[in-house]
Amino acid sequence: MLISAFSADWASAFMTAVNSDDTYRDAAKGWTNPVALVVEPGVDIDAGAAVQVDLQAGTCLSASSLAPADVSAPFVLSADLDTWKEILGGATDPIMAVARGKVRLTRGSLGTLMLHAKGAKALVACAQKIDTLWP
Amino acid sequence: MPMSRDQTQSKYFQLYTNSKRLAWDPAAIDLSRDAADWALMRRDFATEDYARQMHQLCAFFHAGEESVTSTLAPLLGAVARLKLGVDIECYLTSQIYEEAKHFEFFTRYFHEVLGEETASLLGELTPAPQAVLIDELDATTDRVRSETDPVKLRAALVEAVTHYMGVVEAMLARTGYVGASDALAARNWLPGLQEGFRLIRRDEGRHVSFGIHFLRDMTRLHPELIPVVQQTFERHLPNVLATVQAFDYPHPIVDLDKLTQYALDAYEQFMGAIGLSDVEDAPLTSELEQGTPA
Repeated sequence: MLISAFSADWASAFMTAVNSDDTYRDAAKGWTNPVALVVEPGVDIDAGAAVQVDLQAGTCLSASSLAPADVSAPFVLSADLDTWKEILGGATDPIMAVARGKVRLTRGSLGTLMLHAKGAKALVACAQKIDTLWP
Repeated sequence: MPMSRDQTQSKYFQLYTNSKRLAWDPAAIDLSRDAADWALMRRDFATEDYARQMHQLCAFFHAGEESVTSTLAPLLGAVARLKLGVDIECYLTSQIYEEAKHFEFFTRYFHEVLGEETASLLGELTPAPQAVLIDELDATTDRVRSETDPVKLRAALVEAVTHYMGVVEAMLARTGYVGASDALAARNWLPGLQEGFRLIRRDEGRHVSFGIHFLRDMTRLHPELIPVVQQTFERHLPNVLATVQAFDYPHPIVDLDKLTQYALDAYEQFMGAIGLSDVEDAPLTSELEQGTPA
Protein backbone atom coordinates (compact mmCIF):
# COMPACT_ATOMS: atom_id res chain seq x y z
CA MET A 1 0.00 0.00 0.00
CA LEU A 2 1.34 3.40 -0.96
CA ILE A 3 1.71 5.87 1.89
CA SER A 4 1.87 9.63 1.37
CA ALA A 5 5.38 10.93 1.91
CA PHE A 6 6.00 12.61 5.26
CA SER A 7 2.40 12.00 6.45
CA ALA A 8 1.54 10.67 9.92
CA ASP A 9 1.12 7.18 8.46
CA TRP A 10 4.51 7.50 6.73
CA ALA A 11 6.14 8.52 10.02
CA SER A 12 4.58 5.50 11.71
CA ALA A 13 5.77 3.19 8.92
CA PHE A 14 9.25 4.73 9.21
CA MET A 15 9.36 3.94 12.94
CA THR A 16 8.25 0.36 12.31
CA ALA A 17 10.88 -0.04 9.59
CA VAL A 18 13.63 1.32 11.85
CA ASN A 19 12.71 -0.87 14.80
CA SER A 20 12.66 -4.03 12.70
CA ASP A 21 16.01 -3.40 11.02
CA ASP A 22 19.04 -5.19 12.46
CA THR A 23 21.46 -3.27 10.25
CA TYR A 24 20.24 0.04 11.62
CA ARG A 25 20.32 -1.28 15.20
CA ASP A 26 24.01 -2.20 14.83
CA ALA A 27 25.05 0.85 12.81
CA ALA A 28 23.40 3.41 15.10
CA LYS A 29 24.29 2.07 18.54
CA GLY A 30 26.16 5.28 19.29
CA TRP A 31 23.50 7.69 18.04
CA THR A 32 21.24 9.20 20.70
CA ASN A 33 19.54 12.21 19.13
CA PRO A 34 16.17 13.04 17.62
CA VAL A 35 16.43 13.89 13.93
CA ALA A 36 14.05 15.81 11.68
CA LEU A 37 13.83 15.45 7.91
CA VAL A 38 12.36 18.60 6.40
CA VAL A 39 10.93 19.10 2.92
CA GLU A 40 11.35 22.72 1.96
CA PRO A 41 8.32 24.52 0.54
CA GLY A 42 8.10 24.20 -3.23
CA VAL A 43 5.86 23.82 -6.23
CA ASP A 44 4.41 20.45 -5.27
CA ILE A 45 4.36 21.02 -1.54
CA ASP A 46 3.39 24.59 -0.72
CA ALA A 47 3.93 24.59 3.03
CA GLY A 48 6.73 22.06 3.15
CA ALA A 49 6.59 19.00 5.41
CA ALA A 50 8.64 17.31 8.09
CA VAL A 51 9.04 14.07 9.95
CA GLN A 52 10.77 13.92 13.30
CA VAL A 53 12.11 10.69 14.78
CA ASP A 54 13.50 10.18 18.27
CA LEU A 55 16.47 7.85 17.77
CA GLN A 56 18.16 6.29 20.77
CA ALA A 57 20.94 3.71 20.50
CA GLY A 58 19.65 1.87 17.46
CA THR A 59 15.92 2.15 18.13
CA CYS A 60 13.21 4.66 17.30
CA LEU A 61 11.22 5.76 20.35
CA SER A 62 8.73 7.94 18.50
CA ALA A 63 7.98 9.38 15.09
CA SER A 64 5.69 12.20 14.07
CA SER A 65 4.68 14.24 11.06
CA LEU A 66 4.68 17.97 11.66
CA ALA A 67 5.02 21.36 10.07
CA PRO A 68 8.62 22.46 9.42
CA ALA A 69 8.20 25.35 11.85
CA ASP A 70 7.32 22.92 14.67
CA VAL A 71 10.47 20.82 14.37
CA SER A 72 12.37 20.67 17.67
CA ALA A 73 15.03 18.01 17.01
CA PRO A 74 18.68 18.95 17.62
CA PHE A 75 19.56 17.62 14.16
CA VAL A 76 17.58 18.95 11.19
CA LEU A 77 18.22 17.90 7.60
CA SER A 78 16.50 20.03 4.99
CA ALA A 79 16.14 19.65 1.23
CA ASP A 80 13.69 20.21 -1.58
CA LEU A 81 11.21 17.53 -2.58
CA ASP A 82 13.15 16.33 -5.62
CA THR A 83 16.27 15.77 -3.54
CA TRP A 84 14.35 13.73 -0.96
CA LYS A 85 12.86 11.69 -3.81
CA GLU A 86 16.37 10.96 -5.08
CA ILE A 87 17.64 10.01 -1.64
CA LEU A 88 14.69 7.90 -0.56
CA GLY A 89 14.59 6.33 -4.00
CA GLY A 90 18.19 5.21 -3.54
CA ALA A 91 19.62 7.31 -6.38
CA THR A 92 21.65 9.61 -4.12
CA ASP A 93 23.77 8.75 -1.10
CA PRO A 94 22.46 10.75 1.89
CA ILE A 95 25.87 11.60 3.34
CA MET A 96 27.19 12.62 -0.06
CA ALA A 97 24.10 14.81 -0.46
CA VAL A 98 24.97 16.61 2.77
CA ALA A 99 28.65 16.86 1.86
CA ARG A 100 27.84 18.30 -1.56
CA GLY A 101 25.28 20.76 -0.24
CA LYS A 102 22.14 19.17 -1.73
CA VAL A 103 20.86 18.53 1.77
CA ARG A 104 21.45 21.25 4.34
CA LEU A 105 22.11 20.53 7.97
CA THR A 106 20.18 23.50 9.35
CA ARG A 107 20.58 22.48 12.97
CA GLY A 108 23.15 20.23 14.64
CA SER A 109 26.82 19.31 14.46
CA LEU A 110 28.16 18.42 11.02
CA GLY A 111 31.16 16.75 12.64
CA THR A 112 28.95 14.53 14.77
CA LEU A 113 26.74 13.62 11.83
CA MET A 114 29.73 12.68 9.68
CA LEU A 115 31.06 10.41 12.40
CA HIS A 116 27.76 8.50 12.26
CA ALA A 117 27.57 8.17 8.49
CA LYS A 118 26.87 4.44 8.64
CA GLY A 119 23.92 5.00 10.96
CA ALA A 120 22.59 7.79 8.73
CA LYS A 121 22.79 5.58 5.67
CA ALA A 122 21.08 2.71 7.50
CA LEU A 123 18.33 5.09 8.62
CA VAL A 124 17.69 6.19 5.07
CA ALA A 125 17.70 2.55 3.96
CA CYS A 126 14.84 1.97 6.41
CA ALA A 127 12.84 4.81 4.83
CA GLN A 128 13.52 3.32 1.40
CA LYS A 129 11.54 0.21 2.43
CA ILE A 130 8.33 2.25 2.66
CA ASP A 131 6.10 2.25 -0.42
CA THR A 132 6.04 6.01 -0.67
CA LEU A 133 3.49 8.05 -2.60
CA TRP A 134 5.06 11.34 -3.64
CA PRO A 135 3.11 14.55 -4.29
CA MET B 1 68.08 19.42 27.49
CA PRO B 2 69.61 16.00 26.63
CA MET B 3 67.45 13.39 24.98
CA SER B 4 66.61 10.36 27.10
CA ARG B 5 66.88 6.79 25.84
CA ASP B 6 63.07 6.56 26.03
CA GLN B 7 62.74 9.58 23.80
CA THR B 8 64.95 7.98 21.15
CA GLN B 9 62.48 5.08 21.12
CA SER B 10 59.37 7.26 20.92
CA LYS B 11 56.96 7.33 18.01
CA TYR B 12 57.95 10.94 17.38
CA PHE B 13 61.62 10.07 17.08
CA GLN B 14 60.78 7.13 14.79
CA LEU B 15 58.95 9.55 12.51
CA TYR B 16 61.99 11.83 12.54
CA THR B 17 64.22 8.87 11.68
CA ASN B 18 61.92 7.90 8.82
CA SER B 19 62.06 11.46 7.55
CA LYS B 20 65.87 11.25 7.30
CA ARG B 21 65.75 7.81 5.68
CA LEU B 22 63.16 8.82 3.07
CA ALA B 23 64.58 12.22 2.18
CA TRP B 24 64.28 13.32 -1.46
CA ASP B 25 65.21 16.32 -3.55
CA PRO B 26 62.53 18.24 -5.51
CA ALA B 27 65.22 19.50 -7.87
CA ALA B 28 66.10 15.93 -8.85
CA ILE B 29 62.67 14.96 -10.21
CA ASP B 30 62.67 14.51 -13.96
CA LEU B 31 60.15 16.90 -15.52
CA SER B 32 61.36 16.45 -19.09
CA ARG B 33 58.16 14.78 -20.37
CA ASP B 34 55.69 16.94 -18.48
CA ALA B 35 55.82 19.99 -20.74
CA ALA B 36 54.82 17.90 -23.77
CA ASP B 37 51.99 16.26 -21.83
CA TRP B 38 50.81 19.63 -20.61
CA ALA B 39 50.69 20.94 -24.18
CA LEU B 40 48.72 17.84 -25.22
CA MET B 41 46.19 18.35 -22.40
CA ARG B 42 45.66 21.94 -23.47
CA ARG B 43 45.43 21.14 -27.17
CA ASP B 44 43.51 17.84 -27.33
CA PHE B 45 41.28 18.13 -24.26
CA ALA B 46 40.12 21.72 -24.47
CA THR B 47 36.45 20.70 -24.28
CA GLU B 48 37.03 18.69 -21.10
CA ASP B 49 39.08 21.55 -19.67
CA TYR B 50 41.50 19.05 -18.10
CA ALA B 51 44.42 21.50 -18.17
CA ARG B 52 42.39 24.14 -16.35
CA GLN B 53 41.38 21.59 -13.70
CA MET B 54 44.92 20.35 -13.15
CA HIS B 55 46.17 23.92 -13.04
CA GLN B 56 43.59 24.69 -10.34
CA LEU B 57 44.64 21.62 -8.34
CA CYS B 58 48.30 22.59 -8.57
CA ALA B 59 47.44 26.17 -7.59
CA PHE B 60 45.67 24.86 -4.47
CA PHE B 61 48.63 22.61 -3.65
CA HIS B 62 51.09 25.43 -4.23
CA ALA B 63 49.18 27.88 -2.05
CA GLY B 64 48.60 25.21 0.60
CA GLU B 65 52.24 24.13 0.74
CA GLU B 66 53.37 27.75 0.97
CA SER B 67 50.93 28.30 3.83
CA VAL B 68 51.99 25.25 5.83
CA THR B 69 55.65 26.07 5.26
CA SER B 70 55.26 29.47 6.86
CA THR B 71 52.94 28.45 9.72
CA LEU B 72 54.65 25.42 11.26
CA ALA B 73 57.47 27.19 13.11
CA PRO B 74 55.15 28.55 15.85
CA LEU B 75 54.12 24.98 16.69
CA LEU B 76 57.75 23.98 17.15
CA GLY B 77 58.27 27.02 19.37
CA ALA B 78 55.24 26.15 21.48
CA VAL B 79 56.40 22.55 21.97
CA ALA B 80 59.73 23.91 23.24
CA ARG B 81 58.09 26.48 25.53
CA LEU B 82 55.79 23.84 26.99
CA LYS B 83 58.75 21.42 27.34
CA LEU B 84 56.79 18.61 25.68
CA GLY B 85 59.90 16.76 24.57
CA VAL B 86 62.96 17.19 22.42
CA ASP B 87 61.90 14.14 20.40
CA ILE B 88 58.83 16.11 19.27
CA GLU B 89 61.05 19.09 18.49
CA CYS B 90 63.30 16.89 16.33
CA TYR B 91 60.29 15.60 14.43
CA LEU B 92 58.78 19.04 13.81
CA THR B 93 62.13 20.32 12.59
CA SER B 94 62.12 17.59 9.95
CA GLN B 95 58.56 18.48 8.95
CA ILE B 96 59.41 22.15 8.46
CA TYR B 97 62.19 21.06 6.11
CA GLU B 98 59.79 18.80 4.21
CA GLU B 99 57.13 21.48 3.84
CA ALA B 100 59.73 23.78 2.31
CA LYS B 101 60.61 21.04 -0.17
CA HIS B 102 56.96 20.59 -1.15
CA PHE B 103 56.68 24.33 -1.72
CA GLU B 104 59.88 24.22 -3.76
CA PHE B 105 58.48 21.38 -5.89
CA PHE B 106 55.36 23.30 -6.87
CA THR B 107 57.30 26.51 -7.43
CA ARG B 108 59.59 24.62 -9.79
CA TYR B 109 56.63 22.94 -11.49
CA PHE B 110 54.93 26.22 -12.25
CA HIS B 111 58.15 27.77 -13.51
CA GLU B 112 59.26 24.84 -15.67
CA VAL B 113 56.05 23.16 -16.82
CA LEU B 114 52.89 25.18 -16.34
CA GLY B 115 54.62 28.34 -17.44
CA GLU B 116 52.87 30.67 -15.04
CA GLU B 117 54.31 33.14 -12.62
CA THR B 118 53.49 32.05 -9.08
CA ALA B 119 52.13 35.47 -8.14
CA SER B 120 49.20 34.93 -10.46
CA LEU B 121 48.10 31.84 -8.58
CA LEU B 122 46.49 33.68 -5.71
CA GLY B 123 43.63 34.57 -8.02
CA GLU B 124 42.78 30.86 -8.23
CA LEU B 125 41.64 30.53 -4.64
CA THR B 126 37.96 30.85 -3.86
CA PRO B 127 36.84 31.91 -0.34
CA ALA B 128 36.63 28.42 1.20
CA PRO B 129 40.21 27.28 0.47
CA GLN B 130 41.50 30.78 1.14
CA ALA B 131 39.97 30.56 4.62
CA VAL B 132 40.83 27.00 5.62
CA LEU B 133 44.25 26.73 3.95
CA ILE B 134 45.58 30.21 4.54
CA ASP B 135 43.77 32.88 6.54
CA GLU B 136 42.47 30.80 9.44
CA LEU B 137 45.57 28.62 9.64
CA ASP B 138 47.63 31.78 9.82
CA ALA B 139 45.39 33.18 12.58
CA THR B 140 45.47 29.91 14.55
CA THR B 141 49.24 29.59 14.47
CA ASP B 142 49.59 33.30 15.27
CA ARG B 143 47.74 32.66 18.53
CA VAL B 144 50.20 29.85 19.26
CA ARG B 145 53.05 32.26 18.61
CA SER B 146 51.74 34.98 20.92
CA GLU B 147 50.12 33.05 23.79
CA THR B 148 52.04 33.28 27.05
CA ASP B 149 49.74 31.47 29.49
CA PRO B 150 50.78 27.76 29.51
CA VAL B 151 47.24 26.38 29.84
CA LYS B 152 45.93 28.55 27.00
CA LEU B 153 49.03 27.80 24.94
CA ARG B 154 48.42 24.05 25.30
CA ALA B 155 44.85 24.51 24.04
CA ALA B 156 46.02 26.74 21.19
CA LEU B 157 48.64 24.17 20.21
CA VAL B 158 46.08 21.36 20.17
CA GLU B 159 43.79 23.51 18.01
CA ALA B 160 46.66 24.30 15.65
CA VAL B 161 47.74 20.65 15.30
CA THR B 162 44.12 19.64 14.66
CA HIS B 163 43.79 22.33 12.00
CA TYR B 164 47.20 21.73 10.43
CA MET B 165 47.63 17.94 10.52
CA GLY B 166 43.98 16.93 10.79
CA VAL B 167 42.02 19.36 8.63
CA VAL B 168 44.59 20.59 6.11
CA GLU B 169 46.87 17.57 5.73
CA ALA B 170 44.62 14.55 6.47
CA MET B 171 41.39 15.82 4.95
CA LEU B 172 42.49 18.17 2.19
CA ALA B 173 46.07 17.59 1.07
CA ARG B 174 46.03 13.81 1.06
CA THR B 175 42.59 13.82 -0.58
CA GLY B 176 43.80 16.10 -3.34
CA TYR B 177 46.99 14.16 -3.89
CA VAL B 178 45.26 10.79 -4.11
CA GLY B 179 42.59 12.13 -6.48
CA ALA B 180 45.10 13.85 -8.74
CA SER B 181 47.50 10.89 -8.67
CA ASP B 182 44.75 8.45 -9.69
CA ALA B 183 43.56 10.74 -12.49
CA LEU B 184 47.06 11.19 -13.93
CA ALA B 185 48.07 7.54 -13.51
CA ALA B 186 44.94 6.38 -15.36
CA ARG B 187 45.95 8.53 -18.35
CA ASN B 188 49.72 8.13 -18.00
CA TRP B 189 50.13 11.92 -18.04
CA LEU B 190 52.66 14.21 -16.35
CA PRO B 191 55.05 11.59 -14.91
CA GLY B 192 57.13 14.21 -13.11
CA LEU B 193 54.09 15.57 -11.35
CA GLN B 194 53.00 12.04 -10.47
CA GLU B 195 56.41 11.36 -8.94
CA GLY B 196 56.25 14.60 -6.95
CA PHE B 197 52.77 13.69 -5.70
CA ARG B 198 54.00 10.21 -4.67
CA LEU B 199 56.86 11.57 -2.63
CA ILE B 200 54.80 14.35 -1.08
CA ARG B 201 52.04 11.90 -0.13
CA ARG B 202 54.63 9.73 1.59
CA ASP B 203 55.78 12.73 3.62
CA GLU B 204 52.21 13.76 4.37
CA GLY B 205 51.58 10.29 5.77
CA ARG B 206 54.20 10.95 8.45
CA HIS B 207 52.77 14.39 9.14
CA VAL B 208 49.29 13.01 9.66
CA SER B 209 50.72 10.20 11.76
CA PHE B 210 52.41 12.81 13.97
CA GLY B 211 49.10 14.66 14.35
CA ILE B 212 47.31 11.49 15.40
CA HIS B 213 49.93 10.52 17.99
CA PHE B 214 50.26 14.05 19.34
CA LEU B 215 46.52 14.62 19.72
CA ARG B 216 45.99 11.16 21.19
CA ASP B 217 48.74 11.79 23.74
CA MET B 218 47.54 15.30 24.59
CA THR B 219 43.86 14.40 24.95
CA ARG B 220 44.69 11.41 27.14
CA LEU B 221 46.79 13.59 29.42
CA HIS B 222 44.35 16.51 29.27
CA PRO B 223 40.81 15.26 28.52
CA GLU B 224 39.54 18.82 28.82
CA LEU B 225 41.17 19.42 25.42
CA ILE B 226 38.92 16.90 23.61
CA PRO B 227 36.30 19.58 22.80
CA VAL B 228 39.05 21.72 21.26
CA VAL B 229 39.73 18.96 18.70
CA GLN B 230 36.03 18.40 18.03
CA GLN B 231 35.23 22.11 17.69
CA THR B 232 38.17 22.70 15.37
CA PHE B 233 36.97 20.05 12.94
CA GLU B 234 33.39 21.31 13.29
CA ARG B 235 34.44 24.86 12.43
CA HIS B 236 36.42 23.89 9.33
CA LEU B 237 34.35 21.01 7.89
CA PRO B 238 32.10 23.28 5.77
CA ASN B 239 35.11 24.95 4.16
CA VAL B 240 36.81 21.59 3.60
CA LEU B 241 33.74 20.27 1.81
CA ALA B 242 33.36 23.50 -0.17
CA THR B 243 37.02 23.29 -1.19
CA VAL B 244 36.51 19.78 -2.55
CA GLN B 245 33.38 20.91 -4.42
CA ALA B 246 35.47 23.52 -6.23
CA PHE B 247 36.42 20.66 -8.56
CA ASP B 248 32.85 20.09 -9.72
CA TYR B 249 33.38 20.44 -13.47
CA PRO B 250 31.14 19.19 -16.31
CA HIS B 251 33.95 16.80 -17.35
CA PRO B 252 35.81 16.23 -14.08
CA ILE B 253 39.32 14.87 -14.33
CA VAL B 254 38.93 13.58 -10.76
CA ASP B 255 35.84 11.74 -9.54
CA LEU B 256 34.21 14.23 -7.18
CA ASP B 257 32.18 11.67 -5.22
CA LYS B 258 35.34 9.65 -4.67
CA LEU B 259 37.22 12.77 -3.61
CA THR B 260 34.48 13.79 -1.18
CA GLN B 261 34.26 10.30 0.27
CA TYR B 262 38.03 10.18 0.71
CA ALA B 263 37.95 13.44 2.69
CA LEU B 264 35.10 12.20 4.90
CA ASP B 265 36.81 8.85 5.44
CA ALA B 266 39.98 10.68 6.45
CA TYR B 267 38.03 12.65 9.06
CA GLU B 268 36.35 9.53 10.47
CA GLN B 269 39.58 7.56 10.54
CA PHE B 270 41.59 10.43 12.01
CA MET B 271 39.07 10.82 14.84
CA GLY B 272 38.99 7.04 15.29
CA ALA B 273 42.78 6.90 15.51
CA ILE B 274 42.85 9.62 18.17
CA GLY B 275 40.22 7.68 20.09
CA LEU B 276 37.43 10.24 19.71
CA SER B 277 35.18 8.04 17.61
CA ASP B 278 34.46 4.33 17.43
CA VAL B 279 34.89 4.47 13.67
CA GLU B 280 37.38 1.94 12.31
CA ASP B 281 40.70 3.74 11.75
CA ALA B 282 42.53 0.75 10.25
CA PRO B 283 42.83 1.90 6.61
CA LEU B 284 44.43 5.23 7.52
CA THR B 285 46.65 3.81 10.24
CA SER B 286 47.76 0.94 8.05
CA GLU B 287 48.66 3.27 5.19
CA LEU B 288 50.58 5.64 7.45
CA GLU B 289 52.47 2.88 9.22
CA GLN B 290 53.60 1.38 5.94
CA GLY B 291 54.97 4.75 4.86
CA THR B 292 53.59 4.38 1.36
CA PRO B 293 50.22 5.42 0.00
CA ALA B 294 47.67 2.65 -0.50
